[in-house]
Amino acid sequence: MSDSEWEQLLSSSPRDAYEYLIEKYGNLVYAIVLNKLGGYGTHEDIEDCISDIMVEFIRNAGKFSAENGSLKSYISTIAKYRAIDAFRRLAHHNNISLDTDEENITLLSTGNTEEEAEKNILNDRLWEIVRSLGEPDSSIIIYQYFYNQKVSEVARRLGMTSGAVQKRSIRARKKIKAILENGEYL
Amino acid sequence: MNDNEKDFMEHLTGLDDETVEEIAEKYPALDENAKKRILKQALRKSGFPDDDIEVDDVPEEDSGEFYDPEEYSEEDIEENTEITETPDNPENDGISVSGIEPYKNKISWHKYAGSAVAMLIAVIGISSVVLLHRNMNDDNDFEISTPLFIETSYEEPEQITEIVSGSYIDKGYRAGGFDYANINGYEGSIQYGMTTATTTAYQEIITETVLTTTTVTIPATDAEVSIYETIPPVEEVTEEDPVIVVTDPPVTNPPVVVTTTTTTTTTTTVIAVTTTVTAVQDSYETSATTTTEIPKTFISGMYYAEISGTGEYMGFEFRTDGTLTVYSFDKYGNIIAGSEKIIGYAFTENSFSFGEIGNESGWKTCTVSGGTDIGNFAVIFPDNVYTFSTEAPVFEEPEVSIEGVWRTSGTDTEKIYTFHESTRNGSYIITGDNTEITFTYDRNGNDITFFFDTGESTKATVNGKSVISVFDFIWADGTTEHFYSN
Repeated sequence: MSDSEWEQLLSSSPRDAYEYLIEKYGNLVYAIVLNKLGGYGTHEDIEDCISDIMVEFIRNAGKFSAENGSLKSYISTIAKYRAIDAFRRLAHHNNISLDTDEENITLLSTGNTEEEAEKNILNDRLWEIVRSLGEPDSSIIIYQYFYNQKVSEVARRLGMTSGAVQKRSIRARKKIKAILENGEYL
Repeated sequence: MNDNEKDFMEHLTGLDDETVEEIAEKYPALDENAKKRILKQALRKSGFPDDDIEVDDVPEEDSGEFYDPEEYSEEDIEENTEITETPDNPENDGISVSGIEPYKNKISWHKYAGSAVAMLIAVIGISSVVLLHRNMNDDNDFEISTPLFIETSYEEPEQITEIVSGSYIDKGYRAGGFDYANINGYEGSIQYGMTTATTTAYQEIITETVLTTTTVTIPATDAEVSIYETIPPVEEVTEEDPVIVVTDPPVTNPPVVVTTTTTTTTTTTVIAVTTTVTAVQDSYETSATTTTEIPKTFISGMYYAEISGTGEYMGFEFRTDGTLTVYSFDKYGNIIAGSEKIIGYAFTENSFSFGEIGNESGWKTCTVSGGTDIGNFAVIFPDNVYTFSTEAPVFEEPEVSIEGVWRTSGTDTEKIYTFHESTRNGSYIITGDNTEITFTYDRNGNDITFFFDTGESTKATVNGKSVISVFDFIWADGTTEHFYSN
């Protein structure tokens, strides 16, 4: 379905438009929210945030034009800002101090710009290493540490035993740690 | 996972947009139920009526888990993780159930291996220890008698051994004739339907990490499946027996023989392809009959045919009035007297006939090539085949005839010669004194030898033509004497 066709669907059947939106972009929005929340919030908090994003998107659908941009980029932008809002609420609730940069909101763990830059570099390196692990280790690490899923959930998703997932996870982390310590990705 | 690992794994958040997008695409995480819940929430927040909000839930898949995932805390699994290879222990050959040996006090279960009594003692001992642990730890809520759920899986058990702090129950499964189960992420196995069963478990002693393995042999009739229970971390060094729990003897499963016959049938389907080629005629020949009138063959002019071996020729001189004259030529090209004869002729396309006029039925027919340009033709006569051609023959040059009277034109005296060719003799008279001298001569072509009565002879060569009025004598001394017709 093209973006313009989705606009027509929204006019004729808003419920189907919602369903399509969640089916098509649900995983993307979920990943964006998790990336911003950084492990804070429950599953309910996250799903609540995603549904808020979807509602806001639909309510502002009139501002969207398929000619000026894609649905994907539009909903990604809304998702990032709503995720930041959600993080603020959770941080306030948990007394966590925040950086004032909305676009790159992070925990004020260091307050040091240089260290923040190094952290970003480490993010990139770590992602490269995880990607280089190969399957199913990459999936195990992603689902465990990006999506914060339990071993049993990961095992069910990947069709493996929890024990096998756990062993692979341990070995993968050892490998990641060794690579980082040996500076292979420096 | 230790603190350092936790720290660096936190870097898997706060990724850039492109990476997040890649993760969402390659590793989608929302299951169908989550999508339905989100849809419900979104519809509700948007004010949709309840009838529209209702969404059919997707039933949870049976994961085969036999434990409560919430009890399977991450910290229990990962803290202080160490990986080592399972050490070979020669004392454990032949083995079976392993347990957990207390700190630095390995129990020599192998002494009882192979003995039913030893096995029974071990089982009782292990069970006792488990019960003891349960009583000593309030947070230990496992059910000893809970049968182990066996999940069917075909994943090969891994051989790596990890010593972790804390023990917990993991799922088990059946594969390749073995029942497998995990403790602390490591798998033990019981060979299904065999006379002995084997399982192995490990536990870390917090104060000092020691890998221990103890074994007990259990008859297969008594143990189909083992049970693994949550075992609390050992807080202190104890001298207690290993903690291994075996379920109540389940029903013995008979050995199962699975015969797999794989039949590979290769079927080759030949598809006959018929190609029909349709020729399209894009041009047509124009048929036309052209009638060309072939002119009637005719011959005109003189045709010569050599009479073989004689140097003589026959000549046919055709005329357009249907008559031709037959000639006979001597070797000098002279028409032989009386040879001329006029006869008739007639042409068809490829032949012509000729003969006496008035006796056409007796005419002789010969084949010609036809057409208007007949270069030659052959006539078959009883004695020979004569080939007639328009090409004029080359006749011989005739001898000069010196028959008759000739007068010389000498400066001193004039002589009158008389030659008699038939008799080859002659005489000459020297004018002035009328002296007549007779002679004979022999002629060979143009060379003439004179013989005189005096016995003298001389030679001369006639240089002239057949029909002449003057000829030259070239005497032997080289002098030339001109003879003129008298």
